[in-house]
Amino acid sequence: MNKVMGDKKIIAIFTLPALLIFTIVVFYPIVQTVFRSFYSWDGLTTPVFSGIENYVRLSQDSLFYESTINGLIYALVLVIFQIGLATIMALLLTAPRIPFKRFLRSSFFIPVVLSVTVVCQLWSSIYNPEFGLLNQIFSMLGINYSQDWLSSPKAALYAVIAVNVWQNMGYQFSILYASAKSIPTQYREAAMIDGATAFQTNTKIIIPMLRDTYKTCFVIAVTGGINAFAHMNILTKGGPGTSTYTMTYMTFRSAFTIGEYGYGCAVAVALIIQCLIVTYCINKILRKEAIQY
Amino acid sequence: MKALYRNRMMDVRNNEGGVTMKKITKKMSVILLGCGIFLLGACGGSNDSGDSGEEKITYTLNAISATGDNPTLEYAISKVKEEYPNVEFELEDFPQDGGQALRTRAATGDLPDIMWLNSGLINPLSNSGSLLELDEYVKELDFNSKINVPAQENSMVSPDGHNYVFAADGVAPILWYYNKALFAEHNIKVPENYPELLEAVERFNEEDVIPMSLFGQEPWPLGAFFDAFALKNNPAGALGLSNGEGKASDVDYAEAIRKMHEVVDAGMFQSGVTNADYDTAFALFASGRAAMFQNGIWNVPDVTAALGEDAGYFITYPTGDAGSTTNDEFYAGGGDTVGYGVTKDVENPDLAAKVASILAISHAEYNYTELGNISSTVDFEQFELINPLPKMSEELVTEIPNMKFESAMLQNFPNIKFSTGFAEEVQKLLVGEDVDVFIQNIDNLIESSKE
Repeated sequence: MNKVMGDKKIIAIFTLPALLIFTIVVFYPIVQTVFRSFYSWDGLTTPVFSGIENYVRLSQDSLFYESTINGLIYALVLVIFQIGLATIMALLLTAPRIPFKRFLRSSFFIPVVLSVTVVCQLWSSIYNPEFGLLNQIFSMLGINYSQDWLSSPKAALYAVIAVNVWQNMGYQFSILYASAKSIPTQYREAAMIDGATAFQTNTKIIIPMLRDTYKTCFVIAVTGGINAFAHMNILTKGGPGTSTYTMTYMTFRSAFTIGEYGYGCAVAVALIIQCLIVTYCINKILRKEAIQY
Repeated sequence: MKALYRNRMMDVRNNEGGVTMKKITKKMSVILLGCGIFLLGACGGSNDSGDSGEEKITYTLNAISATGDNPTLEYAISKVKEEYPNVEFELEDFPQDGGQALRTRAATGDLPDIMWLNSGLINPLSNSGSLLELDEYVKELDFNSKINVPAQENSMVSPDGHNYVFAADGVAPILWYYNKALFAEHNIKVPENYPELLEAVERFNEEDVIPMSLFGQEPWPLGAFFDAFALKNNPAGALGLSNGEGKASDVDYAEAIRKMHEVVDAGMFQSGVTNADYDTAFALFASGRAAMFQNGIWNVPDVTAALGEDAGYFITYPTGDAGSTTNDEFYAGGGDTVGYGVTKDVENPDLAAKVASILAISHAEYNYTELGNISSTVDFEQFELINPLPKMSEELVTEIPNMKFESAMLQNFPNIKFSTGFAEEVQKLLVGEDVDVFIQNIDNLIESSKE
């Protein structure tokens, strides 16, 4: 085995197929996107080289800033609620003497396997200002809080994010739960013997030991927020106006609605850069030595 | 030892399996030859000689609901078959995706031979040289003599002055329908001008009735609503802004925008207007929860079916000043270059153009005679209806020739960048954007979308 692992030719032969597929499916399209972002191109006629014109335009486009801010809000809310709720659920289910564990585990994960379209149709009905469940509940409780959930510039973005939180919380839960379950029980037992409460055990021992898992969860949630698309495309089409636009939606609008593929590529490049920056920051912030007990 | 084993195996093959192997090889050869002949035949399938002696030709035809239940298309294809029995079609569904799929196919040189087109598609495809210019065919086939005058004037020629379609759908004004019974029940006067409209909106809100239901999730109803106000002051409407002929801050446009904002602010629409689709908005009107409803002339049969004698429409938008009849003849909507076009690289372009012209005129004929659609391109006097027209349609048949259209449906604007941004801005206005901010944003949009 050591002989095989020491042979660079064999390593190259075995890794080449994966590298080739990665290059074709990921690297080449990214290079093409960067390349096309320097052109004025409608997708049909011959592209015309325009230098950094698309980037200059992007820096002056108010929609770019609106989309970026929306993406950051989206990411922040996902981190707080999706990972927050997932953490609470995971810690609850790893605690002893919790009934219906299997049922609860399955229940949390069911929305993840549903199609985005189905979920959005369901929530679109719930949000309906005339007949929707949400406003009906407020009405039944005698609370005067009926909202135009998806047509309000202030509420629409949060309404869309709430759907994403609901649907994908189970995914974060499954990652955190699996990781929390893998922590040896003697740490909990030792803490209990030392007189720690369940809260102290979780906050002082379990959560710090999940640092690497949180890194993955944060990257998934933050990049998922910045490049969110499907939920708003079905629920609001970016509206009202542009109030639920994100960078991915802006890319879609520029390239496919307006037919400015070159500009759409520039937006996509900005999106890639944003995702790389937040991923780097998350890794930098959470980069500490592994906890040893 | 190895050599001995090899010899023995050779013997076995020669004496036992050899005969079988030869048989299999022969059979395989025959099968492969047969397959080859079949494949060669299949490859040449689009150009076979039929029994009639004429060369068979197969065209890919991309049309709305082509592979589903579409009696209009079935009729049109049967008419083509009557004239050209040697023409076959491979049917494809027209994707309702804003033209993305066909634009992508054009980029890869994979457009269907004959396809349903609208101006939103014609502009980019003709700019890239993907469409066959039909100017000569229109003249040669005398196509204009087969369609009505409004369709000749509005639905045939693209902005660059060429024909790329044989028009199949004609002039379609956008109407404001209303529920006569609701107005009568709440003792509210059917408005004839802007002050009366504003009063009606306020009264309906007091009575807990939605004044107008609108499907504001789609861009074009937003543009049409804007035009209903703007046309009174400037017949070019939103198209004039798109072409850079005017600015939102100009006195005529600004006044119309302020009126529009005022009625919206007074509660013109249902909750969730920017997220409402057609089904939602129409259900509100059909169920008597909304007093007015905006949609094209094609909705007349459904409106009549839902409201019966209570269905009415405004002869002119009640958005002008009291006592003024200026520009009352102008309507939102109008004609679009919608119909069947032909790809440039089509095989036998002469035949393809003739086939497209038959498809277009048969489509229009069926829509009028069988379905009672008065936005059809046919000359109504040349055809007899199978079923009588709804009363509203009968009135509109005489009204349409008097209607004028200088604006257009938003999706048909040549400047897509403007129309996309414009719909977004109107949505913002509907959900509470300040009117001055709206005017400023539209002016900025006009500047930034200049091509």
